[in-house]
Formats: sequence, structure tokens, C-alpha cells
Amino acid sequence: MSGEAEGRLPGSFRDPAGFVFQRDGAFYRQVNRSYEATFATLMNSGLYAKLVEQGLLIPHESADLGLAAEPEASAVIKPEQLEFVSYPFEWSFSQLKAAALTTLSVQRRALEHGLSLKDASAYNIQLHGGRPTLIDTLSFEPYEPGLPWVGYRQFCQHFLAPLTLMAYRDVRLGTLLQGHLDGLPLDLAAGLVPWRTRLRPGLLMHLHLHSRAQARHTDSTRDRKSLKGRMSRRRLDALLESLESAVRRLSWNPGDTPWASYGDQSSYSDAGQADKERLVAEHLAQVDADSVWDLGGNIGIFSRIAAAKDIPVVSIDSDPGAVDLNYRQMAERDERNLFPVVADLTSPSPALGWDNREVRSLTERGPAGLVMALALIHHLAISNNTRFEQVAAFFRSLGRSLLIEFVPPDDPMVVRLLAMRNHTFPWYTQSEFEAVFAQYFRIERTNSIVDSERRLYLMCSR
Amino acid sequence: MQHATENQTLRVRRPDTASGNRASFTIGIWTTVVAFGLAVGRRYIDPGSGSFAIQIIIAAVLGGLLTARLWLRHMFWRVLGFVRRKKSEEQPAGEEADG
Repeated sequence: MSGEAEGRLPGSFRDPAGFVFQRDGAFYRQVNRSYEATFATLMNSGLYAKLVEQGLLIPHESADLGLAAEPEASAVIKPEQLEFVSYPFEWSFSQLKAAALTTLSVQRRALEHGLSLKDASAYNIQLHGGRPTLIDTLSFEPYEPGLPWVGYRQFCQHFLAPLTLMAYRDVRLGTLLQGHLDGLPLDLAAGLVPWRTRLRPGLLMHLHLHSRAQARHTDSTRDRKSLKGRMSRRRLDALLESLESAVRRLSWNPGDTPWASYGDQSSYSDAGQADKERLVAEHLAQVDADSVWDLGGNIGIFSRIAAAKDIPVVSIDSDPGAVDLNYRQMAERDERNLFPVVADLTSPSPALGWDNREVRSLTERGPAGLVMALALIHHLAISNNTRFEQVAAFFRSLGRSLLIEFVPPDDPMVVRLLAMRNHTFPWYTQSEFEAVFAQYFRIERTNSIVDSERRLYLMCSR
Repeated sequence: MQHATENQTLRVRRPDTASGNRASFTIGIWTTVVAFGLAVGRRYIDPGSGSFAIQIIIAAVLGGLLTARLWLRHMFWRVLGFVRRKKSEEQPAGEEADG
């Protein structure tokens, strides 16, 4: 969460209730006077305490009103600081599904306390303490009995539509969210999912009929308030139950896909794998990093070595199946320090939104204390034709130190990659690798891995 | 067409007043769903208003189903209670005969 200027965050401008700003390297949220009463209801109704206790809402402490970034402030709060922010288009299927269920859980509890979510944006959910957590403390409005839920459309667009596409068509379609920051247009999703989704009552209603209603509705003059009295609390509960059931029934299993073999252990003997794990732990202890980005992290075997040392680890892989397995494992074991991210390092997530400043690019969300690039260099250099200079400069921009594995040209995996290319890579040698990386980093330590020609290097930036 | 939808919704809202005719109730739900699909007009206005309208209809259908489920459960226990009562009334008579 570095690299931001002081003051209001560029992406925090839509909500009249308040906004997030940065001061002295910490993130605060200003509560505007117009939202004072609702904020008091949140805090005094018992909802805040309940949500925080259940890990559904980010905890905060009151801060000095004098810190307020702009006039109109009635309060300033300092939320627990996030270790890393990821965006819905970077989440695997299970991550998006868990975020959807968190949103519905928050809404159900809010209704019990006389409040309701005024939006259902997936961007308001972030991993915190190992769980999907609502981070927008000002997302609530007083519940007015008889009114429909204002977040319904957004919930379907941000969660139900992409999850259905991922479950029924192709899990890679989650990246469609990158081009649609307010969620997938329902007509787009309804047109892409198989016909059989209409046989599922939840999807028939919330996706297909909803899409039809959006596209053809004639009732242009009626606003939400004019619909008062049309939605009893019991019906609203039934609607939320139906949405939850529709989401819960959606499933996707990485085992069913071509990405069935994970772990890349085949490149090592058992002794080699154990030695590599031991060396990674040793290097981590030596560098004392406050954060780690594990590039090409796969299912997170080496990420977990760092996470076990209580270091937050962003585990990045382009394979949504590997990232899904990584997330499922952390969810099952209640692991707190992992942040699985689906991203392609050869084309990292770009900056998006208004003025390209609402959603930050992947590289803007660095630098990390340590970048790990294990069994990755040959994929970047040979499969993507990237020169060592480019890779070194890229890694230098992402982290202050680097733990990198060099895979030599005669390694069976490299031989396989080279066989698929029709030109040669004479520069892909260990000496060239060391010479180029030494221009960007100071090589602190190097070790060979038992039963393998591969080498690990610990480097610090110059 | 909007009126047609409203009428169907009303029927769903009070399934017990539909004089216990479960077949017509089920047909009512699906007619609502289909009628809405046909009733919505042609002009694209704002996805928000369509979302509110369909949300109200879906919630009415779901609420109606919930009521129906509760009503059926209630009826099931009533009938079961009646059968049990009848059995327990018959049994002592049988015992007397045996004795």
C-alpha cells in the first residue's frame, strides 16, 4: 500500500458519505456530516461490533478530527491497515464466491440492525486476516421497510454474473471484469452462459429475467422511493436467501480442467524439493523482508514458507486453477498472511477507472520487501522472449531484494521450452544471467539445489 | 401488460386465499414469470429501474413460495394429527374387543 500521495485517494470519490485519504503513510477514512447519523447507528446498534466479531467488517479506531482531509468532516476513523489490495478481476473462482457470500452475510446482519447495504461492489471486499472482509465502513444506509434492495443490481453484476460465467463457461472469463468495473452487464453474461443455466431457478430469475428486465423496462419515471411498500421484509429475506442459494450452488473444480497438475515438483527429486524449501527458508531469514511477492507462486508452496514467518505474501500466478487451489487451502486452514492473485506477469494488471487512477496497476501496488521468482526465469526469457535486462529491471521495480532461481539451459524443462521455439537463445546462460542481474542487484548469496543443476540467488537492489 | 403482471403478483401474494388450489398457485407463479418477460416494454431506459421491478416480482414469487411451503407444512401436520387422532380413537376400541 505504498506509492500514494498524501490526501484523498483518487479512487475514493463516489460516496458522498465520506472518503479514504492518506496521511503520514497511513490510511484514514473521513466521515462527512451528511453521514453522521447513519454512522452513529452503525456504531451504536451493535451491528459494527457483531460484524467485526465475525470477521465481516474491517475494525477501526477513532482518530483525531483535526486529521480530516477536507471540510464537512464529522469524524475521522483509522481502519486496520490492509497488507495488500487486490481487485475482483484478479481473484480466482473461490475467492469471488467467498466475497459474494460475505456481502450477503453483511446485508443479512445489517437488516437485523435496521441498516442495509447501499451498494454491493466487489471492490469493497478485501482479504484481511485471511478472510474476505468488507472494507467500506460507510457502505450502510438506514433500512426503509417496504423498499427493494438498492444493491441487488450491483450484486448480480459484480458476483452472480461472473461466477456463473466462470462455473458454466470458462473460469478464465473472470478477467472480463477488468473491462467492466461496475460488474458484468447482465445481457453480456446472459448471452454467454449456456442455455441450461435457465433450468436453475436462481440463475433464471437473477440473471436471465433480470437481464431482460434491465434491457426492456418501460417504467422510466418511477424511482426507488415510489416503490415503497412493494417489498416486505419477509420477501427481502426470501430474495437474499435465493441469491445465497444461487451463489452456493455454483461450483468450479480445478481438477476438471487442463491445469490439473500443480506444484512443479516433477522438476525435483524429493531430496531436491526438501533442499529447495530449506534454502528458501534460510534466505528469507537472512533478508528480513516485511512483505513478499511470490511471482509464479503456483499453489503457494513457497509462499507458505514466508507466510509461516508472519510475513504477508502476495502469491501471484497466471493460472486461475493454481490460484484457486492456493486460496482454498488458505481458507480451509485459516491462514492469515496469504494473498493469492491471478495475474499474468507478461502483462500485469493495468491501472483502470476514471483518469486511470481508481484501480491501481499491479506494479503500482509494490514494491515488496522481497520478490521471489522461483522456477520462473526460463518461462519469462524463453516462452516470452524477454531479455535478462528486462527481467532484472522489472524485478528491481517490484521489490527491494530478490530471491531468484536460475534454471540452466540443459534443464529438461528448458530443453522442452527451447524445442518449441524456432530460434536459439545463445544468451540464456548462467554467466550471462549473473552478469546482467549484477547490474541491478548485489548478489548476496548463491546456493545449488541438491540433485539439480538449478541455483538459488539472494540479491539486494543496488 | 403491467396490470396483468400486478394481478398475477397479487395472486401469488395470498396463496391461502386462492382457496387451497395448489395447481392454480403453481401456474400463477410461472405465469408471473412468463408474463413479466413478455410485459416489459421495448425502450432501454436505465438498468436500475428494471432491476428494481424484477427484484420486486422475484421477491413476491419467492415470498409466495415460502408462504405456500409453510401452508403445506401446516396442512401436512394437521392432516397427520387428524389421522393419528383417528387411529388413537380406533385403537382403544380394538383393545376393548380383545379384552
